Amino acid sequence: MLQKIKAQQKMGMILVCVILFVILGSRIPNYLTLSNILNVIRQSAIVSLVAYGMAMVIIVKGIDLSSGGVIASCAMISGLMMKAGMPVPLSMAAGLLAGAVMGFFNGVMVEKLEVPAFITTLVVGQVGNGLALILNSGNSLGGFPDSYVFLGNGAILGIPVSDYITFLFVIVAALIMGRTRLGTYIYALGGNATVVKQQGISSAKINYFVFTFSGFCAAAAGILLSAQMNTVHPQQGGNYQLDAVAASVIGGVSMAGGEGKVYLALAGALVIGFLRNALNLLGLHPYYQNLVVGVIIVVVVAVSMYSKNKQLEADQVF
Amino acid sequence: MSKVILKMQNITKYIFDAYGKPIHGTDVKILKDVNFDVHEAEVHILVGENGAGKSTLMKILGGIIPYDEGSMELFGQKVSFTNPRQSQEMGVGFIHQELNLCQNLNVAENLFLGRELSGRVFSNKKEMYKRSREMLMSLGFDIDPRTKVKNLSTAQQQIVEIVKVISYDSKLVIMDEPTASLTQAEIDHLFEIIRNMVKQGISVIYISHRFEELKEIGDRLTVLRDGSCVGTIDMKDFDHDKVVNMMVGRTLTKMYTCTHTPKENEILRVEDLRIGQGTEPVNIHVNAGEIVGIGGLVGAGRTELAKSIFGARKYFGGRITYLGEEIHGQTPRRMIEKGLMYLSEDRKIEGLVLPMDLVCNISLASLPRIFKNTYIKKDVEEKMAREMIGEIDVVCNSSRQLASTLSGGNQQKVALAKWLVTNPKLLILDEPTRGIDVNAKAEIYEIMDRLAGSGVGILMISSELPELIGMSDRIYIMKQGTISGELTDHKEFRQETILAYTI
Repeated sequence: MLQKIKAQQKMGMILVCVILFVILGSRIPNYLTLSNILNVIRQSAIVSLVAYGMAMVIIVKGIDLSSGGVIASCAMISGLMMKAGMPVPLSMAAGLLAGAVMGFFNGVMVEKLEVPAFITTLVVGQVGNGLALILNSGNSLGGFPDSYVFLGNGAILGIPVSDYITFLFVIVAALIMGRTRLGTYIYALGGNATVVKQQGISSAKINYFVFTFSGFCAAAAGILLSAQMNTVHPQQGGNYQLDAVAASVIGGVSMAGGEGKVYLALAGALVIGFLRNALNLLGLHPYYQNLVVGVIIVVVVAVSMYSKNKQLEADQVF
Repeated sequence: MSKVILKMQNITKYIFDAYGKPIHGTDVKILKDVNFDVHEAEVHILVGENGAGKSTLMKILGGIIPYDEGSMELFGQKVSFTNPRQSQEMGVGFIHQELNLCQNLNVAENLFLGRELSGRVFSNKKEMYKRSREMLMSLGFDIDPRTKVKNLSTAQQQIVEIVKVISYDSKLVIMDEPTASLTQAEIDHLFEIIRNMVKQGISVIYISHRFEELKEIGDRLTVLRDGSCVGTIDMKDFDHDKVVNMMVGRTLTKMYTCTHTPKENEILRVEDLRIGQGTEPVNIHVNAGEIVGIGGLVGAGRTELAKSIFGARKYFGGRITYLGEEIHGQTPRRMIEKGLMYLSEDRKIEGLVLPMDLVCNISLASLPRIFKNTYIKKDVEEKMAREMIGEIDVVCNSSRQLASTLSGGNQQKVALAKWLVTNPKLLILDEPTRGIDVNAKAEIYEIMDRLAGSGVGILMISSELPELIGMSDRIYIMKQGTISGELTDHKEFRQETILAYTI
């Protein structure tokens, strides 16, 4: 019975998305062309990369607000190294490592000092943003090697490289969550920390991994963003962490922890991406786009929370 | 005579706080020289009232808390556990009343949590599902191990927990009120499983309040009362009245003050109120100056009834008449304005703001009434709080000390004081004396009596039978979300009668 209702809800959501898609597609020329779809995925790659790590962190009842700072600082590190003549792979590895270290630091703060995730990640994000400004005295950095720019703008078999990257990440993340014992522990920790402790599972390892992975994903997003733009802007981090939270929530990740799928976070990022794209093609001013996207996110979250509470109420037995 | 596998001798435990740490300055014992043993392959029943020490004893066995004095021998080995893992590894399985499963994971994931079958990288889900299925089927439980635990009924979850405990090679399984929320068919199935376990040589310690089922399942029975072991009997000699006598047996001390007399005028009338979808309607009424007790087991819907009246919870139809007027769409704020207060069950979570001082806690509910124009006059507030602290005799160093630094009894008094300064007409008290010492209890009873004497109606929810009997003018008993009995005559106020309505 319960499962049936849930399944119906899920089907309803998908149906709404499909209908919207079709309506928009029939109204907007070029909306449902392959090249536009691939392009939207390319644009959504940054948010979705951040969202994979974010989804995991939210599943263990945390939140990662450092992603913006990581995006800016790690891309800046990679960019400066390339500008200094280092090989592209080494520079990228350094940037990714820096992101992982920042994430690991968050994990340690949360696990060892029991600092709320929201505070430590907010601070680390600020540090990251500051670092990005200091490293190049507040200037942008551009003109990278062709192989680097290819990552962001090139295509293989007609499909943008960015799309391959985001799909690769989501496959790895989904396999971790669905097929490894670590993934089970991540869900378990978010669902019932007491059980995890009594089972002799170390919550430290889980937290370290989740936050490190989130930092790593954000660094990858930052590097990909600078490759797409062929520029590192010291303030490129923007509000990606909040977009990633929104993508996760739209994809059904529960802010209460323990629930959600990484690949649905990708779906959430794509919903936002396609929406923005449609508003763009409809010629809506970007300022209003934020407004519309915000309203939609609020409605989605409100509806899902409302139906959840209704369900809890109806399930109470005496 | 079969082998003795557990021998607990002279176990003594001093009172401890919520974190298991001893409380300084008291030497109250919650377990006094308890002797308890379990034979191989037997079902040993443990009964006793709330607060008799059953859970504490079992927590000691389960390694959740250590004992202070005495000795414990498990499988012929002297043990003293410091954490639950040690107990688990010795073969003790603990099935808690609030089940220890990850609701968001599926059955197989729960069964294998912490010891997953895994290849080099990926978990071997197929094998885990297969083995889970076998484990479940061996107890005659036909369910897909891929089902999420939260989609299972309580009974099914219980069986999953039992399967999990058995799969750890447990030789001694503790079941804490496993049937509290099961239907008869489910209970029969559970008993079938327990009998199977015993056949495999597993011993079970079975805690329950339901007398009718004990005879069916138990081999021996031990009664605890006030932290002491009253006796152990063979279930062949089981006699309902005898066991109830062993459980109750205490003489009611002069703890209860009763000088008030109920008045004629009615304050509250609840008609056909449904607290849940599909529960039977509730009908109760409270007069001025009357203390009305509500008994029943935890989970029978007592708190939900109180919160429904107070407006802190949605209910499913019914009529509430308060002070002669029918009320609709009530909220706590409106009810407080009308003089109806609800002192919640858990003072630490719902009753007090622990990191605030006493003055702020006491004035919290009456700020809008006393300070009409937003600005709080600190001296007026302080004076009011001090008067109240003096009146109900809160033991504290200063009126500005934090609520978290008080003892349980004094915290409860402060929580009560918060409502008293608002001049209540009807006071709903939810477990007003839970977890506080005897003296504080007596003081709270005195305050209640004084309030009733001044015409306040009191609705008191309590799990402690002596308290219900000692303080109430009338007693309702709740069961499965509705009223199962009403006692109006003091001659009927006996623990046996009340128990009969609760179970």
